[in-house]
Amino acid sequence: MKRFSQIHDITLAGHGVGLRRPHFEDTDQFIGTVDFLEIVPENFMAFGGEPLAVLDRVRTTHPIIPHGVNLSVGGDMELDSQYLADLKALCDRIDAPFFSDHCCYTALGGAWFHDLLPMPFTEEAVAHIASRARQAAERVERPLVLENISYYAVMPGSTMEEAAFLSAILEEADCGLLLDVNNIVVNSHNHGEDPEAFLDAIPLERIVQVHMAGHSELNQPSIRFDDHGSAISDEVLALYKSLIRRVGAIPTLMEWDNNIPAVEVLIAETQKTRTAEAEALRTAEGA
Amino acid sequence: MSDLQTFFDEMRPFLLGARELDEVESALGESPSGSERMAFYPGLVAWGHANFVEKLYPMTLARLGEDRSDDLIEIYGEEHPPNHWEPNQVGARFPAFLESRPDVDDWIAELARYEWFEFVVYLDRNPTTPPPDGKLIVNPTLHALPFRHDVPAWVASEACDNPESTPPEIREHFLVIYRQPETHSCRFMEVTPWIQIVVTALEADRNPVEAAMEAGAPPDQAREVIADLRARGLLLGDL
Repeated sequence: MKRFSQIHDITLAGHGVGLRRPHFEDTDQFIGTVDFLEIVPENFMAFGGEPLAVLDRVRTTHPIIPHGVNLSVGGDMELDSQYLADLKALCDRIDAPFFSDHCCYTALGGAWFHDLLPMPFTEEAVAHIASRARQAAERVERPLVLENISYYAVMPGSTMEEAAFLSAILEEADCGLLLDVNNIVVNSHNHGEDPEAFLDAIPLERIVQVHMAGHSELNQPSIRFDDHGSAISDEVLALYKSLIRRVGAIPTLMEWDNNIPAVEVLIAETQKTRTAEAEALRTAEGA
Repeated sequence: MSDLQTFFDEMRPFLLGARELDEVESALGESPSGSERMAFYPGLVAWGHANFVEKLYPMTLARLGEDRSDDLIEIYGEEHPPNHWEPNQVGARFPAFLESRPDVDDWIAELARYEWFEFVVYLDRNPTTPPPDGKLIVNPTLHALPFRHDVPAWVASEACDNPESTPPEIREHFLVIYRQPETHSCRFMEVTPWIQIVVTALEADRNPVEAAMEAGAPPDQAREVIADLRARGLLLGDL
């Protein structure tokens, strides 16, 4: 079966990091050390000044991928025309091969929560998101790639498992998948699920990119918390290797959004994912 | 009404802290994950909003102190739920909110306004490059704001690092705030009569040297004023 990336001529490869404001003066250190950079478009598309100047500089040295947080593809408001126009303009400016966001809602009835909130896993929600995802992809004029989110409660009324819900949306909307391996681990702990079974149940050929990140543990409630504030755990690396053994190399990005460390630390995290990928590929060849 | 619309109608006020969980559970049923997990979400949303406000207003909140800041941010969030996809807009109404509070000193609201405009100017969408025809223009990121206290001097001094320091002096004046083209940093400058004359002339598409001379400046001084404002990045282009 052809991969989504092949169908859409997406040639992104290697290991990248998220570009964040504390690193604006250190972007030269990314040259020769990381293969691509990911940006949160909301931090660039409505602005000028330093962010745009930095973006124009780094796009001459790296492929730039926009990974949004406020498409609110599951929300109840009309997709915001100005938001989509600004997003398209930014994608054009950086020649983005695709754009990504999360399989969730971030706004309802005019209120913006600025958090990635879970939908009820229902057929109705599948149809709702798929229809809006198709609209968004048409208006931004490039493939939309949706990410599996971490969630701390299964929403009332849910009738499906997360993997079935996500798979149905990807098929119905014809979207790519941004697979966040950290989120799978967080969710498996929080909901008593088997992360390998999750991988068994999703359309692996739709994976366009992988996210890696750190998480923490909270006491009240007792949960794993997806805070993107630490290094990748061994457990997440192990699941990543399992994924690579199944599907081969996939563009992989290290996300770090809280307690953001120095560039060197981020680069060292990408070295971890490179090593894990190489080990997994060797194991797969030997199998 | 569809099940999904009912879900949205219940979750919106719940996430904003305006509806109790038991009401939501009556309407939607319980989460298979349990009530404690559902109850986590409104706090998560409020925490995220507070984070945005804290990043935008570090000096203001340091001056207010942690407990008072937490209280005010909570009330602010209840009165002004975020209404824009751009996350920093969460804090857009915070200076006006502080200004409306009788229990907050006037100068602290001014300090918040100072911090907000520092952010606004830093990210202003307008380019700070000279126009293609090279004509002299006012930096398009420029804002002029009235202040009743000498907030800039207070910020520039060590007083802003000391929560017990004396408040800024009362001194009514106007400030211009703009983004310096080369460094992208935010500059604050008190509005002098010359700045007023030059900016007013340029905005009326008049020759600023002639306007300064009409106001009594010798030609050399008028040109010096303009050269100085160009060097500071307040004016872009050339005469």
